[in-house]
Amino acid sequence: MYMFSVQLALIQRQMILMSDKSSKIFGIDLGTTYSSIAYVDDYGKAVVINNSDNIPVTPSVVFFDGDDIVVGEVAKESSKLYPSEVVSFIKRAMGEADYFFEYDSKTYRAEEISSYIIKKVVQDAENTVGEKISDLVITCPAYFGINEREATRKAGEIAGYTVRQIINEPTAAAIAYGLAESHDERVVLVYDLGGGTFDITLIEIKPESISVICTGGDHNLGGKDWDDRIVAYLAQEFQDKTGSKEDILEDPDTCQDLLLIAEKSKKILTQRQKTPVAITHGGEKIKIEFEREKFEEITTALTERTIAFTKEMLIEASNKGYSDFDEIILVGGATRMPQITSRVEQEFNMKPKVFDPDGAVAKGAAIYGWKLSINDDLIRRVEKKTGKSIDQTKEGVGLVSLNGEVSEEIVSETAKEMSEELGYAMPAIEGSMVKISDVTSKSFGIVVKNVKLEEHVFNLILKNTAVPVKATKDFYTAVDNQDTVLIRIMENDTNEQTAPLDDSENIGTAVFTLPQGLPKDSKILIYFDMNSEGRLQITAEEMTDSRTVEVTIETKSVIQGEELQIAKERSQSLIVH
Amino acid sequence: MERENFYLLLELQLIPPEEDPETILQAIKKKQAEWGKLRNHPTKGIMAKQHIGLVPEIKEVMLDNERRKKEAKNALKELKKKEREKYLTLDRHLAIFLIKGPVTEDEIFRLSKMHSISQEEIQARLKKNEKENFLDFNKRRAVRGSLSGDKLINEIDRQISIRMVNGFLMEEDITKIAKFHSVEVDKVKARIICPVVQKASDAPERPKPLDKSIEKAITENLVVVSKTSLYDFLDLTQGEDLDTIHTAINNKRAEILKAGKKTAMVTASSELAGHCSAVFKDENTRLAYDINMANALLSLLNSDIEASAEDDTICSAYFEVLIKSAAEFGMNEKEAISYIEDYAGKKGWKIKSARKTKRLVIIISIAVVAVLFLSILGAFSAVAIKKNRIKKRFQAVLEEIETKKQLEEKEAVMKAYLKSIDNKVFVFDDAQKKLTKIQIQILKRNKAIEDAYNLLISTSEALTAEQNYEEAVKALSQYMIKYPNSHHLDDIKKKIAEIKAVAEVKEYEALQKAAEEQGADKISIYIEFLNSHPENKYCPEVKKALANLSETYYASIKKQLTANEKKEDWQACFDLCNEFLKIYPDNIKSPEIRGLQYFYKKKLQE
Repeated sequence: MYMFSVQLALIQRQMILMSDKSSKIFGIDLGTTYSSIAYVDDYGKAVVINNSDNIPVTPSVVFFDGDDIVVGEVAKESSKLYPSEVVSFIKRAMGEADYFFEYDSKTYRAEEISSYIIKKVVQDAENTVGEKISDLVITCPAYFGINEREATRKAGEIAGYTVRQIINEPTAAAIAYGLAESHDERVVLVYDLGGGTFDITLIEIKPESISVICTGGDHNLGGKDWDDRIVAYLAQEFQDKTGSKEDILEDPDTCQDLLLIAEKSKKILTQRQKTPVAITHGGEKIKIEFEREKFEEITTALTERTIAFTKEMLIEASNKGYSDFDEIILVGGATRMPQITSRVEQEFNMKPKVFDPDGAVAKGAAIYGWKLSINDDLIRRVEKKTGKSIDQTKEGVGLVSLNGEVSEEIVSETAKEMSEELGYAMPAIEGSMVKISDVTSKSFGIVVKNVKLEEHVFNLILKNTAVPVKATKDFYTAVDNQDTVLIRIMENDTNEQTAPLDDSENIGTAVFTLPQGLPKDSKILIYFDMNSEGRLQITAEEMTDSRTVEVTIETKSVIQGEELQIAKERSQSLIVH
Repeated sequence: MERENFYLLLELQLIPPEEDPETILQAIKKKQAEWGKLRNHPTKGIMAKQHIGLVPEIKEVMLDNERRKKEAKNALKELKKKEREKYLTLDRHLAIFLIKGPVTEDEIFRLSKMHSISQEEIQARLKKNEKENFLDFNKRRAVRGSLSGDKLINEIDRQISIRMVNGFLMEEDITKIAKFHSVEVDKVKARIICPVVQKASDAPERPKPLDKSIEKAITENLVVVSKTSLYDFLDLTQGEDLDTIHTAINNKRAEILKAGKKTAMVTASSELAGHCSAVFKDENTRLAYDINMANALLSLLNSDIEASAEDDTICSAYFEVLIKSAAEFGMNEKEAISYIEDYAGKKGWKIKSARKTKRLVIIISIAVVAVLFLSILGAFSAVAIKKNRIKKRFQAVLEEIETKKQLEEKEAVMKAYLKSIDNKVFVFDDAQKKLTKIQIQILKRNKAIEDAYNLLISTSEALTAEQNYEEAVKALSQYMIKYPNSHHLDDIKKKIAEIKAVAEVKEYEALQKAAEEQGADKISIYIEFLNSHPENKYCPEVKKALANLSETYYASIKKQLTANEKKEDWQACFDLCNEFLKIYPDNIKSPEIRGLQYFYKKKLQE
């Protein structure tokens, strides 16, 4: 989904160029259940930074405690006593237009709550490393759509940071893996099962590039679902043993208690065959022996879903000429469950490797951020040396001649100077030029009418297409002097040119303000331009006189306008504990 | 799933219906906040997500005057329907109780607890029935045998499903179903996927039941997608084979994956697809699910049985009603009785039934007749049994005799047996003959021993005279082995000792003579004597003599060792040391020789 070469958002790059030295960019794994932050230290090693509790992962749990916001382990423990004041799994609500959390007569969107988590991990990291953090690379599931990605970016901005890039979690893991392991060419299947999301991605790793071939998954499938099954089972056991027909999960305190018990039990059963569990409700207490065999029985369906997604993705990959892979790596805390390793091995006849389940994504994001900052510096120096501007929109920019005016020798020379000055090894500088290509995890199109005047979606950009990518479509005005055209932009999971309207998600409406005096049937050319980050830009051109058409995109799925302003102001005055 | 009514969802006033937009928006906001909190609830999360997804539509409908009015009208209809559904099971149970007469206060209390409905409501329901008579048990429809087409197939599937509650079907069940619906047995069989047996004892092991929490999760998700079972979800009937089901699962998954909107419907479908993969993994897991479905089909009948039980007992009147109630599920009388008794049995309940009493009388009568018959039979059998017992015992004695090796032992066994039986017993003569036979054998044997002994004595004396002591001892020893019971054994042992003593003296004398000869290698002679006659009583003397020669021997060994060392023949050196130590293990020179032996061993190892 993300083509990383030397392309950066224009504004961000300008800001960097203004400073003499590029700022350090930190990588954040913003997880559904746990979040972490990492950076590349002076020795070129990616390191996860411990939080204020000296633990590398921080629970993505937010507790609204009067005027204070508490994030992390304390918030998690508080959920037992104050279930209505604690928010968990907020990542699952990102990009949902109608979700909000209400506290003390104020409403909070998912982006704002996520910003508190980001703020907490960054603050703790600042205390540890002893420096101010301003720039971030934040990861998200590969299977996030445009709204969810935009919401993630907004969360970073609300927290007061510059979000340099949003990258996919499996891609980040592959970056960390590619650098940690040998430099052979190989195709790797990345099975990323986190706390709330599942991504399955096929990635080709070469010494000079890391390319995503295909991706799939479900951002509503993760370790939390395994916990939920345990909770449902324990509630049923309580009913069976006490003879009560009451649904004990109606009680928020009991429900929260069971959720914590479920998570603990799941972790214990990773190491042991059974664990004792006590369930207390309404003055009654029962004890049961919860066995791994039972746990696997009640969660088989979830594991099978991940295998089904994987098989589906591999079919798509085979259509692109990739019918085999060399390795399987497991990423994400939930892959620690023995049933995952054994089921994956059983299905694909290959022993998977568990690769740094808690740290790989954050480290990959940090490495990516580090590459960004090295590249920033390199480009700045080349431009200063030559007095020329490097075209950021060109693909494949690296140590190759640019615009025919900057020679490879100058770039190499500049890289060497940089290496000597900053102390980085030359391979590290050259390594920052490794190309990282991604694909889009969704198809994007617009609503059109067929010959029967029935509405459906015409996909301009198909799922699993390498990004950046452009596509165009013709439209014709319906009447004389038409002044606007409304285009509904849709996102779906099909791999076909057309998709039913019911199967597609409306991610925004593009309003085209047309030039005056256009006759009926005037041709309007619409451009879809998706960049390496997966951000979609839409432009239009009126073909009669080649005039540009102004386009604005309206979407309610992501915080914006007044709501965004309020959120930013609240964040500025807030200290997150 | 049919869309929920928005007035009811927002809990807005219905009479008169709320129309103020501000109040409606506040209600929407309040519900949004509630649903937001339930968004990640372990069991209510999907519904909460669905409700959140409905917010745009809710606003659209509730803020439009015309659509809102229509919504309010539908809300009232919906409430009536819910009321009927609320009382559906209660009404069933009231109908059962009313058959025997007025419903008692205890019964009302029990129903109130069972259905979580107040006693006053139940009283009101009964009062309403007095006017409208809707609690008529006889209005329930039994299964009809006159269906056709898809309805017939569905009913056959339902009948199969109900009978699968134990995990298998009996051949007679299939025949009953076929007969009831006037179809061929093969047609019914074609729809069966569980094991079919002739009798219950042939039934295979029942598969592990589906976990209740999973069953619940499946049911809840099915409600969201408006389906009744996983088969229904896959658009299949229950009788399909596994391959067809697996193909359907793949197709369903592909369909779900295409959905761009991650609505509650899509999430529920995705969960159900996962359950399908697990449930339809193999025939065993599938059968477990089918058994669950059978239990679910019978849940109403089960609730009828539960309602009928008071103080762990089902009275006769209710038992009869339950049998009739079971007809609704296609069970005949015999099946119904079996099912109800089985259910009650599992709960530990008793059934007071006139049927049961009548059955008990019949059983007791049969038992009395059987006892009388057996008594007469027993009398005739006793005599035969006694004769047989005597015969068996005699046979056992004969077998025991065969196991004994010594004739005297056999004789003793038979004598003891004859002593224990009456001489009039029919086996006495045979036993006596057997004893006589054994005794004759003993006499013959004893004579043989005597003859052999006499021969032995003359032979041994001859051999001794020839100074062939060894042969003499051998002959005597062989007699002892052959005739271990001979009364001459002591004499023979004494004879052997005498011969040995003479032999030893002779051997020693021979030794002395040999050693005194000029140039004799005394050491070798002594060693040879000790090796050949290790038991000879003169061995200590010989050893002493040998010890006196140790110095000479030591000197001789040392010379040989020196010569062999020069040749580096370490093996020869080692062997010489070994020989010395064999003769003189504890001699004063032994430690030195041992040391040398160790040295030569090391040399050999190099």
